[in-house]
Amino acid sequence: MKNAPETVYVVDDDPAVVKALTRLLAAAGLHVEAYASAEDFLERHDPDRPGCAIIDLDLPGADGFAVQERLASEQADRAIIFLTGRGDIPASVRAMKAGAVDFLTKPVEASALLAAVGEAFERDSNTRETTQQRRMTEQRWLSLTPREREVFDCVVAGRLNKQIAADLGTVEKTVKVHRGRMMQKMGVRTVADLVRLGARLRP
Amino acid sequence: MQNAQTALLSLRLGRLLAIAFLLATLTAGQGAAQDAPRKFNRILIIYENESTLTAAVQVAEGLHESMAKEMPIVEIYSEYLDTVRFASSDNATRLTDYLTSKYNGMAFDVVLAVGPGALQFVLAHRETIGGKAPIVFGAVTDNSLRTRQLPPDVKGVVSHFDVRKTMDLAVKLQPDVKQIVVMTGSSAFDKSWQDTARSALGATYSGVPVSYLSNLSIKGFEDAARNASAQTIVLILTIFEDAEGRKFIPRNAAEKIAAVSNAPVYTVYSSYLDAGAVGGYVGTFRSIGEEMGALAAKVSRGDFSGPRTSLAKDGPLIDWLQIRRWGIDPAHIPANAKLLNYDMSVWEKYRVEILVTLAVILLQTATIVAVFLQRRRKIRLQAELSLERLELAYVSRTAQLGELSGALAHELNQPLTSILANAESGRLLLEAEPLDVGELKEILDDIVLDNRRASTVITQLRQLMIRGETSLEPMDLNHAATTTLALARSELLSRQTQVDLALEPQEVRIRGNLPQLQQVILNLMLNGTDAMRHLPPPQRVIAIETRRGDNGMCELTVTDRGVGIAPERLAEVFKPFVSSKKASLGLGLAICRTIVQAHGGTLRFDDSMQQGACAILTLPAA
Repeated sequence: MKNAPETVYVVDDDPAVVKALTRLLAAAGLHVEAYASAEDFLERHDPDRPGCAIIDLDLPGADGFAVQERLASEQADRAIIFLTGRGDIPASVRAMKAGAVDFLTKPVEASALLAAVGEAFERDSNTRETTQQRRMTEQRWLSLTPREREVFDCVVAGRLNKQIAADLGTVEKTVKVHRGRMMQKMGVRTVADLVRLGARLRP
Repeated sequence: MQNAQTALLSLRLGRLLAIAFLLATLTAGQGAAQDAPRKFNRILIIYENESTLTAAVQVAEGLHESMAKEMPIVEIYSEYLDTVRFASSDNATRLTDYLTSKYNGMAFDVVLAVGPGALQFVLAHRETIGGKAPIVFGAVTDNSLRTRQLPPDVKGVVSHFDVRKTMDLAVKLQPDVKQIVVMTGSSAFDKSWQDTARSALGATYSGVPVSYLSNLSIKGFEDAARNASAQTIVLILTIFEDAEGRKFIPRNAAEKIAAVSNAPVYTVYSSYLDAGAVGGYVGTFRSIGEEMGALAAKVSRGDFSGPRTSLAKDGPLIDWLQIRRWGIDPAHIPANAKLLNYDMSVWEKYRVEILVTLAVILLQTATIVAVFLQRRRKIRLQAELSLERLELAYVSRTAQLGELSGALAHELNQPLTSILANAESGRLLLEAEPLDVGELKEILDDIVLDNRRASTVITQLRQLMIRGETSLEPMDLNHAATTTLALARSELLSRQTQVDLALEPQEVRIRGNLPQLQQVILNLMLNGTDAMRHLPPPQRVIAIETRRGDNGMCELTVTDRGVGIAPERLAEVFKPFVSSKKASLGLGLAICRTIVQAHGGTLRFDDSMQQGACAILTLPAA
């Protein structure tokens, strides 16, 4: 995690806990931002900044699950680690199903917490990378002409130029021209790369 | 009747007249037929003495009773000669003439003679008085019969006034006797008694000198008795007349003497008992009367079987009151003696009544005991019940804690989390260069703070978990409210309920048991949050207030904005097993009220609430 640009967002209503966790994470060389409530966190934190959130499940007002749902609905990719003083199984199952990185019970061991944070950062960066690639692909796809998009769909579906020409009611030569331009716009050389991009477009 | 009939017949009237008579007599009454045997018995009783003599009265009682039994319909005529007091021959003649004319022509089934004089009179005049009816006599001594030859249709009950047996009884009762005195009056009858006594007892009896006193005035007899030594036996026979010619009912004379006597008085007559005599070997006059009645009934049926004379039943008769008066040792009383006025006679007399009364008393006692036992059992049950309630209170408290366990774990885990995180930070910092001593010191300070915080939670928890002992101690109601709130903080958070505290600025001193009051407040608070479950979180507010009333009572109210309690359910909510919640036993409020009552306070709901519910806990100020 050295030189990591990531930030750890700590959300807990208990000032002592916030202080101690912040201290621990900072001692481990991490950049930490602390929030005293879910509302505060949702309002002020920047979802585009890489990093993860450590959220107390039992917050006054909106609780940890509410934060998770809000972030999901805003399509903010934020890896979340839940902390709870109650530690009941149904809550953990629910949290994990909703995509939490980890569900830790208080008091939490530093090693467990730091390991979770590491995993969360990885997941965060992966997600971010994927999202970035998808966005890039989408932008490239948006630059295609309607005819090029039709050819894109056919190529991804594995059709040959001759078949595509028949499908689109044109000649093979024209198809070759569209295909070359489309491949160039999408930034790929092989059909295999194109198929991988196509998968990104249809999650 | 018969008399009139005879007269009519003698007129020898015509047939019509006879029929008219018959009709008349028939209408006049039953049983007036001339020749046919009467349907009822007619009896003449001649008493020797006057009618108020106790002996005569007792004989009459016995007679009437037995005749009533033996002869269902009987017509009784009684005459009292009183010849003992009026002994002149002129009087006898006058009496004879009078009775002869009075009973002239009347037929009797039996003529009864009571007393030897009466027997003599009846025998002498049976031709004219009583129409030769059979005679039954009684109260006649064997002495007076000895010289007389009785006709076959004369039967009787013979009394044996046994001076010796009476004296034997007296000597037995007074073993230390030094002197025997026998008193008799001056009438002819009295004198004959003295003769009888002299021949029976002699000059000494059982080695005790006997003196015979007679020819004294009643005063003389009294003085003699008064001056007698205590170790004397005084036997009074009869005093019909004293030396001054004053006439007495012998029983009354004996009573006067016995009243002033310094020594116990004895008698041969049952009538003297109850008049101061200690006792005697006697037959009761009543039993003589009974035997005469039975004999008369038998004779009236023409049955003359059996011996001519029978002895009156007699035996030792003793007045218990006199035994007590003279301090005579009861051990001296012969086993066969009958006791008068004996304490136990109450038992003998009223055995049934006593048994019934005793039974009633026993039943009452049993009832009282039963009621008492039931009451004690009830008290014990109540004690047990309150113990059980206490146990229940504990169980419900722990159950409530179970409900809160998540929240409490959270409460405890918060400081533990800080402590652990701080400690691990410290470890990391120790590896860093240069060593940040200031930061390390701060870490350690925080650890100490969090440790204290954790132990506070545990202390509060322990207080709530303490079992039993409901000792009431002086405490602050505000403290109970704030500590309860601290315990429930986490749970309230998770129920997203806000609590507004409005406490009396100064301490509210009461006497109470902290964990129990915490339990009550906690219960009320949780009930409030339950009632507001359906509301959006910002509206979930519970207000807790404390107040010191000016009437010596302190108040704590828990108000919510929930569904409230319907007026008709206000009384019901405190009953056990009444609950509007599915997952509740419904014991919470019942236990709360029990706890509050044990504190001498009350717990109720404000029935004037328009929205929500307001529980009012009232406790006496310390």
